[in-house]
Amino acid sequence: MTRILAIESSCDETSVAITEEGKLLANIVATQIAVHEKYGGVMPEIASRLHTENITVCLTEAFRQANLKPEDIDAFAVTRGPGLIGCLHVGLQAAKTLAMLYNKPLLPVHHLAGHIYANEYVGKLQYPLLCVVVSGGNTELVIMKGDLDFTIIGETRDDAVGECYDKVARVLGLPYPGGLPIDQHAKLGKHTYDLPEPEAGGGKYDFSYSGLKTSVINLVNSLKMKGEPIRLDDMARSFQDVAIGMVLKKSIAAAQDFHVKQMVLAGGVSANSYLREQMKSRLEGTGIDLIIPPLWCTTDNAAMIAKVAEHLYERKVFAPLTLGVDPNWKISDWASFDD
Amino acid sequence: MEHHVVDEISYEAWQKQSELMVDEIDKLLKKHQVKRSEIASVCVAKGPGSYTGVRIALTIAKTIVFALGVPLYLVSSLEIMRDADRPTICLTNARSKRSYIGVYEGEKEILSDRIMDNSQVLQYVKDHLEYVLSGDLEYLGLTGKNVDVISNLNRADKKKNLCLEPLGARPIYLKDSYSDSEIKVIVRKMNVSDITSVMRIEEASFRNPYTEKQMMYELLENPVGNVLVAVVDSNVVGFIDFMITFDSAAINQISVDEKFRKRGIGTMLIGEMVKLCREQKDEVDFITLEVRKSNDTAQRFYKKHAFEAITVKPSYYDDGEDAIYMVRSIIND
Repeated sequence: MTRILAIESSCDETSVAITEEGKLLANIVATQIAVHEKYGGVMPEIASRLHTENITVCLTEAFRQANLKPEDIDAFAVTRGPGLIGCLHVGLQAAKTLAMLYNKPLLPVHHLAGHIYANEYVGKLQYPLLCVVVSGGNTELVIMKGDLDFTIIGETRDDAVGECYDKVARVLGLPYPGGLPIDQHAKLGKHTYDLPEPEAGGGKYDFSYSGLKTSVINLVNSLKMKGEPIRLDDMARSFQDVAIGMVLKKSIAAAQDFHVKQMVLAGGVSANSYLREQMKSRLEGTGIDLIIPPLWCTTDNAAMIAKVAEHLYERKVFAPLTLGVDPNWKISDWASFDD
Repeated sequence: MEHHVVDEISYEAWQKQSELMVDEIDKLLKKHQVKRSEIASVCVAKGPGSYTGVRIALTIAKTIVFALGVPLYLVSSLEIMRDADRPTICLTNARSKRSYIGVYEGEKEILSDRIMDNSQVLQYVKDHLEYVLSGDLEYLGLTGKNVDVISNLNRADKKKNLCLEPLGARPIYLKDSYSDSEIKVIVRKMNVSDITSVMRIEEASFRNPYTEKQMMYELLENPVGNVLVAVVDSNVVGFIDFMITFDSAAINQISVDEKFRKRGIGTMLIGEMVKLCREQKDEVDFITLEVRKSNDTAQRFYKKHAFEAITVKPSYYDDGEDAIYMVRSIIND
């Protein structure tokens, strides 16, 4: 029986998970949102400090829930990137230390591969597969022709869609993270404000969000100067239609162009209710299967890291104890971690 | 057992500690055929110093201590730079024209670790020419003595350095510490790593304390549960545990570490709770609580914070004692 322990600390959640033959025995997530919401975003130094404080508490709790001891684990997995460098360091040290003490393999996991493979908790992945990766740090369309075979066909040229949500939320006086509050207000509003869809230039499947963010800021400022009220619900709806509209348009085009069997949503923004509903209804009757991750997998957690780790373990993709982090690790380079 | 250094590895690894440290420990253990079960304790420098560097070492130490269940000793990064016999000014570069400084004579701390402007440091050095200077002091135009840091670190397993809460251990960053005269209190939501500190206060304060499991439930699972902690220099010194249910809130527990009482920390905790209640979408109208009939101090504290005794709940507590039920409104103040 293969037991894997996975650690995730790439951003603002410290998480430890243990799986046994693919079955999840524990998934402890210590979120820092309460701390970061004061600042309207993740403060890297503060996040790194909290990871250091939380990590062993999460390990203890995971072993208690799984009713196992460290010596029962066959391999130790960790998010090596992408993410905040200081945060990644903390998870890496813990995983390496355990791998060293128990002389077991160290598995280096790509964070976004984790978000994609989180969908294995829902159903089997079918190839060719289009992964729509939308989060606070990433907006990418990834084609998978087989297991662990990633090709990025489109990505954001500036801000990530989730980052854009957070910034727009801040302008509108909504709390951090901005995804949920904007989604909720959008449900009550109408698309009455004119926000142009930014041109990404570059490739057909590329995204651009910084222009949209600027349009909202300019519009809000000009309304304030004219003394006109800002209709929050309508503004949220207008913004969300454009922001998610781009994801829908490009994903559907890519799914058709690449003749995929299946599409999966991944990342924090895949919790967005409008994206979920629209993608479902637009794919209906196309023959393309859609997997939507469970809500608990839309935030960062180690259970999804463990899923990728199972595949790495099978293929014996083991890292040396000199493994370093890579804050900008490309998903297509998932198997190279030596430099 | 008096122990000695068998072997050591020490070299400059600027921005490479994350890659190299665990591997070097592995090599050292293997070279001397040390089994993990033979590790009796771990000593680590807790700072002040490079944030990332200190975090890397501390995370490794905490992980070993967690896995093996052995004691953790935390020692000042400056103290381990002291000379064996003579008073030593221990210094490292804190950048922005400042230094971390600590002055030690044997076990005695002459000047506690702190951050100081380099101009002040130079003056201090001038005023104490008889002291040994230790550290890489090129940035100050001085020369420091090369002290055997490894052997100092290896001998740090002393009672005063024993870390009582190794799972929640934190580095010493110093840059955001408070000045000597006033304490700076921050109230924030509780993290899981605060659990040992909160339990320590809990157990010292209540006759029938919550178990750690109950406290973890309040923190992680209870959907209406809220726990705030008061933090002084990154140590938890008090907490409040309360529930918000629609239009009312109830205080389950509030407590402040004995050493930090009568400094307004309880008031801050209540204040922050009231603020949270005001921010709720469903407006909270009143806060309720039960307090032991015999606990006059607590009742006076609550009265000061606009709570009124409404009724007595007979035999409310497990040991048969009555509770005074107190209520305060939020809207009308």
